[in-house]
Amino acid sequence: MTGLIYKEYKQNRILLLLTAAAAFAGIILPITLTAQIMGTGIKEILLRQEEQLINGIKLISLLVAYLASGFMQGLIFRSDNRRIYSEFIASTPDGIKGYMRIKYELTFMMSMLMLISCNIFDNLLALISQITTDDCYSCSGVVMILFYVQLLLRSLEIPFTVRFGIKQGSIIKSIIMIVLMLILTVVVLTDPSGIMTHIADCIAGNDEILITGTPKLLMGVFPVVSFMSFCLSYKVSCRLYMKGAQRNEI
Amino acid sequence: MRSENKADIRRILIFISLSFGLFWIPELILDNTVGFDEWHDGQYGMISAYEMLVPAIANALTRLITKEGWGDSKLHFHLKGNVRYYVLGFLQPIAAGIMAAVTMTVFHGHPDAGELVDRLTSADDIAFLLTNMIAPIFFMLFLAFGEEFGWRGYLYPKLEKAFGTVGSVVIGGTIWGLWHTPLIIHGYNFGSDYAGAPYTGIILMCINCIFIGAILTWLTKKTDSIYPASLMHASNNMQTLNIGLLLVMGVSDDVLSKITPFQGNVILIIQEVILGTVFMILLMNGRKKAEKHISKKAVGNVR
Repeated sequence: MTGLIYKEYKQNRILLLLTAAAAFAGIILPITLTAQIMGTGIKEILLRQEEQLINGIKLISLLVAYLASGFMQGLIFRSDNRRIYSEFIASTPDGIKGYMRIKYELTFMMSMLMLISCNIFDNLLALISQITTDDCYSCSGVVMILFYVQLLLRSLEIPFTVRFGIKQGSIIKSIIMIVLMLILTVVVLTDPSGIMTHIADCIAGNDEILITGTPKLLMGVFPVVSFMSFCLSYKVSCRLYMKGAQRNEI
Repeated sequence: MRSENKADIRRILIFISLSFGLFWIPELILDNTVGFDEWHDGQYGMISAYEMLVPAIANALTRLITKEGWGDSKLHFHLKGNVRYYVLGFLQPIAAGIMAAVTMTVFHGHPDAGELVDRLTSADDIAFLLTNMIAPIFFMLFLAFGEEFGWRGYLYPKLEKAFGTVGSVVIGGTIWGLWHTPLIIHGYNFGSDYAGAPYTGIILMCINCIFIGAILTWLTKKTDSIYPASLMHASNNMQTLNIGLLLVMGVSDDVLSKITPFQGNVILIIQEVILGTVFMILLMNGRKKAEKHISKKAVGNVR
């Protein structure tokens, strides 16, 4: 097992560094660049809660950073896709389950790294601006939601990548993303019970989060569902691994 | 063998000096310059939370200074066959909270099934618990890892070699409790309004750390990994024990509002002592079993 961990670390250490860099790019860069462009200090930028544009920039840059980190997580499964290697893995004492477990653990660790880095950079910005995180728009709540969204997306994507290979896996992943975007668009447009308007107000800093009842319950259940689906995804991937390996010619 | 013991004691002393020095010195300076409230709740509140990483840093530095290497660092997840210990780690603080709730109901209230059902079926109550106590668990896990990698991952195994399992839990728990002293002096855990403050608080913290330490050590020994203990520590710090408050029945708001942080913590420490004693016995049994197994093996080898 230690050998497998060492191999994964050796193969993917650049990706780990890039994940931390993505968090830096998503949190620190947009604020400092906006401050440069607008010719003000970081503190002024962070305290201008009424500026929807600034909050929008922060949110979009964070989303882009998460997409980049998601792409890097996908790369973990792109190596070792030769049939002969898969058969060797199946013959090791840890077997397919051990191999897949390391891959899933690394994916999870990368998500954790993104979550931790984003929080550290967020707090660092507040610290250097000498303001409390409560005073300004803090992205730690959004980061938390994105962390679980990322886990859910990986749990859907990985079994397809393992079973159908990288190309087909990517296509299926894109289809899932499009479907999710369509659902999100429908929710935003129809806006049942005014949740989206409320969330938009919260992001713009005009309102405090006061979601109650079933939507709040759903938001609470989401992290649990996301994590459970990640665990379930591991079980499914273990079952599909050899079938996927048979597709490779070499 | 003797030189090995000497080396271990040297390592323990270096580790303790580093973990206390790296926490106490900045803490004392910042308390007196920035101010305790500002440092912990105000402007720097989130930064001060990273102080929990100090024991992990002390572990890493001690290993580097003493050129000990990274063997037995307990950094593997060891998930295979051990998931139940992870679940147990997460649920333990909730169990303590439930026990505290039952205690509170017995002494200050009366069982009220209707109230219980209302609370357990309230979407807002459940959502509040899930969003505030479950969702941020992974970030808290990172901070708790900082402490566990130092205490259970380094100090306790070293103390166990020198003082035995129970000795390591008692001495390690006392050291761990004393480590919190700068916080207790400023009323972080118990407030400031209690008899014998802050000394009573420091003693209570040591007792708490000894018994919680027993549970955390048991989890670490069972899995040979620090992550179940980290999960329990994170769950504890996330105040998941407040889930037990859902079960407080028939206690008036008047009574609840009069409970000081000191009284609340004492109620919880009593639960931790009860649970910790059970795990201490389990640790001792485990040790005896291991000794028996070794002696049987030795007899077998002689034959």
